[in-house]
Amino acid sequence: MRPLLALDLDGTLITVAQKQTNLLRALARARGLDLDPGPIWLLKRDGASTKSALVGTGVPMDLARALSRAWVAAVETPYWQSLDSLLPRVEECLTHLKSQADCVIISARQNASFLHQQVRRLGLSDYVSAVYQVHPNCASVAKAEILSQIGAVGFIGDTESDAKAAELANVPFAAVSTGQRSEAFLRAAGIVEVHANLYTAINFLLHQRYS
Amino acid sequence: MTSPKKRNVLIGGGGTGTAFAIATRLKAIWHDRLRLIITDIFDRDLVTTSLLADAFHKVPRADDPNFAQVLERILDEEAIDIYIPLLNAEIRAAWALPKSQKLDIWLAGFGPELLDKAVADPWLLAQGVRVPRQLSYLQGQTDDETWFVKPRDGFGSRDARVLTMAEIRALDEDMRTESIIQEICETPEITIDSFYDAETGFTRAYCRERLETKAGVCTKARVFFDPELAEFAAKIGAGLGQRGAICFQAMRAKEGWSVTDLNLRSGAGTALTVAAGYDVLAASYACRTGESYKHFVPEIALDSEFLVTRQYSEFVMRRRP
Repeated sequence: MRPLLALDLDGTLITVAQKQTNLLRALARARGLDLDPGPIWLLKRDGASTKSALVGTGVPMDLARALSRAWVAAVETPYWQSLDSLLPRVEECLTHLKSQADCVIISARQNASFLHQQVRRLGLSDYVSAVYQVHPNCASVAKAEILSQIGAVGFIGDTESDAKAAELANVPFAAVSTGQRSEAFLRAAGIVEVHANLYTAINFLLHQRYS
Repeated sequence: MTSPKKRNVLIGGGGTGTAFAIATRLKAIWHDRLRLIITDIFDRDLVTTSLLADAFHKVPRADDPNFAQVLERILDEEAIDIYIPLLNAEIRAAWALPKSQKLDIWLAGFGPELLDKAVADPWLLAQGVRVPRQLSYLQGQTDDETWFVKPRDGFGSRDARVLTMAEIRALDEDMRTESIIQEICETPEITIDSFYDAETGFTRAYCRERLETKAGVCTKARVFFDPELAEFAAKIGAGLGQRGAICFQAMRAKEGWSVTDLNLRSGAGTALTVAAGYDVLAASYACRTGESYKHFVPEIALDSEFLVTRQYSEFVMRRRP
């Protein structure tokens, strides 16, 4: 039987910065505020929430709270999701993975239909045997349950929440620093295996299984 | 390692769906590797594409005598590397700009004369692409015969209509001169999103049938492949020296598929093809900047089809306080 590897979606297979920063800038602009999303994105990569990143760059608390709420409400709507694109060399990595193992996607999203649509639109359905959606409010626990149920030999994700899910399911984990969190943040969170790209993360988990 | 140069990209006709579609794809793929500048005749707060822009300029209408001067100032002040004109008048103005090695204007190797449908039809025939039969003389036709009449410089089916010969004869002389009169073709009208790289001859063509249109906007479409229309696309691409995406329309005439309209740019509806996974817009940018592009435009199988629907999105552009 072929081994099964589980992959997170946002930040692991597809970009997250485009959607997050452009949406935040658009919402701020409607309120007459011209934001430079660069520093905000860096703060978020280092673990800040949207609200605290806004406050951290000088946005008043009331406005930061309102922008953050509006951001959460819109971030998964189809237009803003259309800004997501495949991270560099993802298709190549998945082709490599497919030659040695099966893989599934486990993603924390509010809307399952939009998730499945996006996976199809980006051509990822050709590479994965299943796509699982969990609600963002209980992401770690729900992802852990799925990891246990499907018997995954490893999990790759881009956040401390993904690491927590793997820990709960007792499944080996490799983080990629291509998404929501920076390498420094992931390491500070106690994650040992942090990879700069998906390719080395896949190789690490597959190699670990056979060694 | 030094990061690649951030390019300054100017998109004209910012308020059009075409501009919004292009801006969306450029920001999705190249994100912080480009700086997006948008122009439009309206204030920024009324132009959705401005939400994605790093700079916005309100400009006169492209057919205004001051437009060229304003455009040249923006090109200079913003140090534009790539200019994407979309409206016919913008394309004409862009064509008249002084040639510069530093500025890539998204015009293929053709002159603006092809914007005139009366010129485009014989040009298409010369490329080996069928067009509907055109009526040159009004004599010899019966009054109740119907013909399709459209402006030579029109776009988006604007002012195109079916008229009887009696009605055509009643048109004033100027209107007749500014229109072309063609045989009526059979629906459906198919739009072909065509990508072509004149440097390599690489070509892809995606067909799009409008299943529903509301106020001129396609809201339901079928995306598929047709080998005969793909052949037309390749011939047009080669003839134009095209590097990037354009779109054209085709319908069934007496002798088979015929090209009813040629656009020297992509369309607002191209976003429907992109949504199906065939990103001719990203491929255009990659192609013109020397990046690999084939992964954006995979082949579409002969027996594949996609049904794509479209709903409106709402954007709050300004709120007070």
